[in-house]
Amino acid sequence: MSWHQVAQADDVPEDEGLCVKIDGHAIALFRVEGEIYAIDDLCSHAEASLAAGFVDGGLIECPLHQACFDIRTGKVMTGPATEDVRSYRVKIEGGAVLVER
Amino acid sequence: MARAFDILIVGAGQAARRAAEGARAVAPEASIAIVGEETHPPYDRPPLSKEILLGKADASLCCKRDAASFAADRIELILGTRVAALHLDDREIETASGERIGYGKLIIATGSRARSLPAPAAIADKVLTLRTIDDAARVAAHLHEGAHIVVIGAGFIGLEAASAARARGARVTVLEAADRVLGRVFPIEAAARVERLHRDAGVDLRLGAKLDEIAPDGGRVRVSVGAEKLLADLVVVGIGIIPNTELARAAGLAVDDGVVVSAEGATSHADVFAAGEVTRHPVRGASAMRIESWQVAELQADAAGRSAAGAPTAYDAIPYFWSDQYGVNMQMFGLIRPDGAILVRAAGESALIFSIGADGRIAGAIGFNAGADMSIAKRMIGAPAPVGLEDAATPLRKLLRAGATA
Repeated sequence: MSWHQVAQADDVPEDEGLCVKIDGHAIALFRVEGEIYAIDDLCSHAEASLAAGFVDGGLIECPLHQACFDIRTGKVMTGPATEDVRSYRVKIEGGAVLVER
Repeated sequence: MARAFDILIVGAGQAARRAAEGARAVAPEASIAIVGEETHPPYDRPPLSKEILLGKADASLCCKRDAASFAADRIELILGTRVAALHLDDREIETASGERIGYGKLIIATGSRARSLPAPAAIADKVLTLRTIDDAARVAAHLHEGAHIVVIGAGFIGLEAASAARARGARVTVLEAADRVLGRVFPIEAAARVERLHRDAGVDLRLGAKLDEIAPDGGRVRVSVGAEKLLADLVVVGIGIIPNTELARAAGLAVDDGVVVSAEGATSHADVFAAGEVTRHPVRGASAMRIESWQVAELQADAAGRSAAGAPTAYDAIPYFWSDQYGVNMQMFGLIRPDGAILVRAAGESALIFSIGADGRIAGAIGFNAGADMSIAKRMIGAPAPVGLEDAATPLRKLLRAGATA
């Protein structure tokens, strides 16, 4: 596990996700009440990018089948997904977003 | 003395699983059992006509829980057991072998069965419906390069089977008696898009095709349509499903197409609830409906399970449905109003098709690769259609916000 700089904090919008890659692995960044969170970009149900989904408060809705996840924890809130997505630790240094993976 | 459970669920599909989970969530101590004819533990059906036929996944993708997981939650599975009768006055059900099982509350979750076509015994293994894990395995075994698959019925199941068969290199002919696909569900503007998808993928889609005969022909199946004879390696029959309401009807429960229930899943008898797509339940913005969808099997069943276990819970979700064909994602929210207007908002391969009621409000939305806009469209259901809705250059989110502040 190590920290990877993936974006500038200012690049992470308030109401949609930002997909970044760490060693080819897609991670979705979201901003909730000013804080930035990182979860796996791939929905646990189908081949969908969660960063392309709809952000509603602290929740992200998958664009393909409306599965809903808690952005802060990766926990699945409603199906059809049944498995959580992984969530990652995030820190901000000098305006840059670092994700631990 | 017959065995008995606080909550007994008849039927062993997705709705049974979800009703049991709902009941367990509010009644940690209740004894709960699922009794049904299926030999597999309850599973979800959406992948059967998609990932399973495509060969991308095995049946485990359908199984949200295995037998051990049910046992850990103290949900008893009584499988391979057909229920023959409900004795409501005795609070007992009777199985085909004559065993009686008692209950405190009964949940009917008998689902539906595929409508079939009669076929001679010699080709019974080549004329298949697609409803169960075993059906999907049988159909998938025929999908390979060079095979000719004839699909009868251009509903979602038939069209998803066609999509999977093409992806696996089979030649596909779809026969539909009506003059369009998806006649029960999609307005013509959306159906035409689906038709184009299939024709672009090389499907021989025949509308207005009247099936005359299915007969054996040298190890294959001869499908006669008028003067033409099609030779098929497999015929997939996708001509709809029939709700399994016989037990409820015989027991004297109110049945109107589906088992009639309240928003809480209560039937006309105080001890009996019903869950999933066998139900005719209240729907926002409409009279009651029977809806064949994953959502109903999941969320209406959850509410019915909670209600049966003593925590009345209403189901009031906006109807939702999805399909995936040729890598194109289709989703539908709400209802399509035949008496209203259709508004198309399209940009390239992505499109949203709105149904606007006579009152000017958005009744439903169908998306093709619409992505996050689908989530926004859901939030617009029931609201007045905003000016400029058909203009794909105006972000939908902006229109949603404008509507919220209007």
